[in-house]
Amino acid sequence: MRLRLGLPGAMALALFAFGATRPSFSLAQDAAPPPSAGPTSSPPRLTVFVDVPHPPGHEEEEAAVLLAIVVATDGTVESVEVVETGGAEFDEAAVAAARQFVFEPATRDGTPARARIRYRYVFEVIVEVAPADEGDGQDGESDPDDGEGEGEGDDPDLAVAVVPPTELDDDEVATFSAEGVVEPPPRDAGSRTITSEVLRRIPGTRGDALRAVELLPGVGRPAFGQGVLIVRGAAPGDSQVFLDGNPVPLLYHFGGLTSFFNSQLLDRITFVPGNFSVRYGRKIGGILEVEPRDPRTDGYHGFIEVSVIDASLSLEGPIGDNFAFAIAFRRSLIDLVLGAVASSADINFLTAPVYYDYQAIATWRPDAENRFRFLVYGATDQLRLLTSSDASDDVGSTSGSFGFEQQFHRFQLSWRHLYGEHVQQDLSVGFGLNITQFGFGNLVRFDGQFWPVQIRNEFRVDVAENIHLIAGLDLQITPLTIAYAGPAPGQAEGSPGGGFNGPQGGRRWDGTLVQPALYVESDVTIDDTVDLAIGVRGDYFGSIERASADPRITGRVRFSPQWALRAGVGIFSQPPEFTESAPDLGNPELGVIHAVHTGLGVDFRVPEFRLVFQVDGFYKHIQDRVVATVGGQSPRFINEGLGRIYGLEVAARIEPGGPLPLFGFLSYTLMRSERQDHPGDEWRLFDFDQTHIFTLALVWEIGLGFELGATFRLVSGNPYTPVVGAVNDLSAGVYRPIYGQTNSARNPLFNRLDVRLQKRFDIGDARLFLYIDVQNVYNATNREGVAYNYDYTSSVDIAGIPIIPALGIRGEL
Amino acid sequence: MKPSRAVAGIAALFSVACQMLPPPSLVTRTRIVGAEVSIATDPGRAWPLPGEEMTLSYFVLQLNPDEAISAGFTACPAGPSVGGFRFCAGAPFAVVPPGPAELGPLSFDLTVPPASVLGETDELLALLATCAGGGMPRIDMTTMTASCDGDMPGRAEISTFVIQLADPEATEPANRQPVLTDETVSVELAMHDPLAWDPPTGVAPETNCAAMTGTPSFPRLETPPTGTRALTFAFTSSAADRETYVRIDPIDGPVEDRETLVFSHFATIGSFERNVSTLDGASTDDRVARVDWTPPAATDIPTGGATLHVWWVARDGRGGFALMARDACVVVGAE
Repeated sequence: MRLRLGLPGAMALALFAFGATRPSFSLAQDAAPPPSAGPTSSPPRLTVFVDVPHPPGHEEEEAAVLLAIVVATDGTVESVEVVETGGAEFDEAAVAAARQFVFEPATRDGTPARARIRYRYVFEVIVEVAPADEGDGQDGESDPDDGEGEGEGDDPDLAVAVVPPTELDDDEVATFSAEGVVEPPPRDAGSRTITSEVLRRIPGTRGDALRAVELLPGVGRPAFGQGVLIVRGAAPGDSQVFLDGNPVPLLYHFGGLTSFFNSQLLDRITFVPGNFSVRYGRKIGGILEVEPRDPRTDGYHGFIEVSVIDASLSLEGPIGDNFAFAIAFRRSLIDLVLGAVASSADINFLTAPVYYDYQAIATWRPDAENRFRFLVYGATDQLRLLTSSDASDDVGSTSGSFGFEQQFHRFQLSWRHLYGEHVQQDLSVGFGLNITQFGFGNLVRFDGQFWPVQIRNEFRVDVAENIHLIAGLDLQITPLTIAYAGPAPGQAEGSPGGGFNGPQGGRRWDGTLVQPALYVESDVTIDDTVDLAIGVRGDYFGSIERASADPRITGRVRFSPQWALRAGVGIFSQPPEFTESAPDLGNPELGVIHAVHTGLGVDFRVPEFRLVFQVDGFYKHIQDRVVATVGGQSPRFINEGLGRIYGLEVAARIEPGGPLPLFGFLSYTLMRSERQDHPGDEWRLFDFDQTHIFTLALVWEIGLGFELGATFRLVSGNPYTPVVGAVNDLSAGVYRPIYGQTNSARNPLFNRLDVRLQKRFDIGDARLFLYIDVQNVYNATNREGVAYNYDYTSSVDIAGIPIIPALGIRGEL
Repeated sequence: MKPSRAVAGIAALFSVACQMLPPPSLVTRTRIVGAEVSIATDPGRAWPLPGEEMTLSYFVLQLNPDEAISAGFTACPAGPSVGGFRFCAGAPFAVVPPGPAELGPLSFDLTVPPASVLGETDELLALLATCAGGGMPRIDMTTMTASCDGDMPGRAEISTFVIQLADPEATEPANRQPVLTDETVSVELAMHDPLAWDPPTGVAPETNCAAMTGTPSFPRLETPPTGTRALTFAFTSSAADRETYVRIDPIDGPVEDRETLVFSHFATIGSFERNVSTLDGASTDDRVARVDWTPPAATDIPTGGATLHVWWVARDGRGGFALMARDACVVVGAE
């Protein structure tokens, strides 16, 4: 693999250089333009204020709670977080009130935009009603005209007043709510965002935010222990997880128990099951964007959390006026727990995942126009043998070690810079190390080291009041060293035996993989009701020396504040896996895999109940799929496979802060995912085809700090290929199974109920959470697969996880 | 290599699930567990030369000596592995139609084709179809499954064995068979000296074996009346069994290496702590391989004792095979 840039690569570098060396643009604030600049953006304006009385027992006290409120494009409150506490009970009251606020949404060039504001909710003990001019209706904090928020308490001697943040002046700019961030509307018509407030409280995830993505429509259920992301019937390798714009190699730690990133440091996740923006490429499945939050600046905070699965801790706070940091670390405990259990239970062969992860975030805002964010993160996963007496030799005639280790480490720097009020640049540079090692006795050895460098440079330009242009470079340069010994890998999907072919072979590869891409997209708003995102992305795949051009278009029509129609169509391209295209192992002459995504969806919102309904239909066509040649003959892989995936997704969501003390999701996916491996072959089911995926997740805020949540899942079992016979391989000392028709059988319906009960204690400025998170409450026995005896004449079911109660404690300061 | 995570995850589940299935080391039916090449002109060599005459003998573990076994045999040049399976790369050069196997070892005499016929192939594939318990084997080549014809069909099975051919021009010596039958086997008992365990001298009685125990070739093994107590079977291999050779590592190139002996152990009753034991050529000079065997519960042992048949099959990883057998009588002893 040589460094071959060619024209696309040169263009990419040129754009990168341009972006990094054009200092002549002027600077502007994200959301709050200076008064002289004209009202191209406007912050949210509070139209419905909700007051609450002082908490019982605190009627004579004054307090102020600084809140961070995210206002959705329809003016409803999407999330509320306490930034500065006013005391636990005041916090609770303020959050409850703020969730019921209704705003006139923020706008950006006339288009409603999602916004985050800071809001100080003040509980005062006053006799007189605050004068009307303290809330002028422009500050996003209160509107005296509606009569709410003042003098409406039960006690005529008491009143609740809302005043501007004390650190702000009373002039027009300051009352803009100084730290409001107006965010552009989503560019992906089918994207689904979950905020951190919701993510951490979903049951069955043990508070692990990223695992909540499994509850969304279109996301398949991986078998226990696999920890992969299955999006709309696409193979796990067809989808990608991004952290702050950079791809990361895994979502979950080994075993799928825990995700790689600490939930406490997340801002939100955005899941795009299809028709994603041209900003992303090299994948034909879906995209999961994980966005970390900025460290807190209002003092030092931290938490410690311990459960039987793992333990984690974090610390964050400001250093000086413009700098803040957050660090977190986690280590699995399950290996220690299982090890202790196994040694006392006389189990002679037991493996368990051992994992670590760490994160460090720092932000620096030297002035109003620049923001720097530093991210350092990584994870290490091992499959460790806990108890054994030569158990590693217990696989046929295989000798040697059985093991798996994967680790990755990243350093990431992002810079946001504003050139005047119409141009914004986001530059992100990440580099690090991936190491993957595994061995299966003397049969297979893999040792790969990758040093990926990821550069993303994006410009957002306001071309006109209703036209925004986005252009960017997405460059990946990956020096790598790979050593592989073993038979040539075969087709990974639709090949029940693993599909290794040929004699023991392998080699070492040293090279650099270069994958530049350029993209441009225009967001056009027509008549304030139609949003169109039209874009094209050009990719160059260095591994196969091929290029692709992917046009995509998505649109949204807002018929009313309640009703909207979404649609999208586009082409998506993906290079073959390394093992498929590597010289001496696969076929370097392979071409690019293509897919066409089409989707049509309807949204219906009921703001007063904070209800959102969505229905989406989709069809994906995959062509040029890489499949193994018949019999594994040279060139081993060819681009002649097809795929088709079609289905319907129905989702309902109750957001926190509605009239009911409930929030949650209901999602149902009806889907079919099929593959054809060679022309003329019968279409077969995809390995992870799941016809029905039903999820109901509800969280009930009981009061007194108690919260009860439950998640119920009902999912079609995965297809599998039955064994119809076996051949006694005397040379290896094992029986080799003979499989029937690929994926012609299916595991039974999967069902599981997870429950989480949490109690919050407020001790001064500290908060303590005790929780019990019980997975598989009624101990359903779900078959995840079949284990056969040595000659495949008898079998037992491999059951999924039994009931697993995880008692945990988390302390926050 | 992303599927590796899934594979490893499933392997972790299997490690628990497989404990619920009967282990391969427990012999409950007629089993074919290996094969051995014997060259008339050089009996210890495992790799025949093109043109040489050889005998391929299968290791048959037969619980009932009176059980009928029929077999069909084919040998051909071996093709590359496809999904773990081996197929013929050329026309068969030896075919034995299905028929009743003769008493004694299941073996076939072959003449390896000359190099001019074999071409670039340096391996032979031996395909054996058997019916144990009645009937004649028949292979459906489209599905690679076997069945037994006849009025009372027995259990059909296809076995494959790859014979590595020696290179007439190679400077390295051809691989030789490990030799186990002459080695020392003992049973290590707590608080007692090891008990010598010699090869069987005759056919062990299948019932009331307690009356005939006490010799090194048919020792008496005691199990407590309550609970279980594992016995350690140990045997000392010959240092010469692990030959040194030059291995072509696909990554590092030629590497001087020493054979690793892998022993599969089989027993008719009781259970081994694991299915195979290893004497790693690279990491140990230890010549003693030990494995714990747990007798059946006392309640499952008849008053007259239970006959135990034990076999070890050794593989040197390069086509060398050997079989070793021992018999014993298990009785319920004192507490």
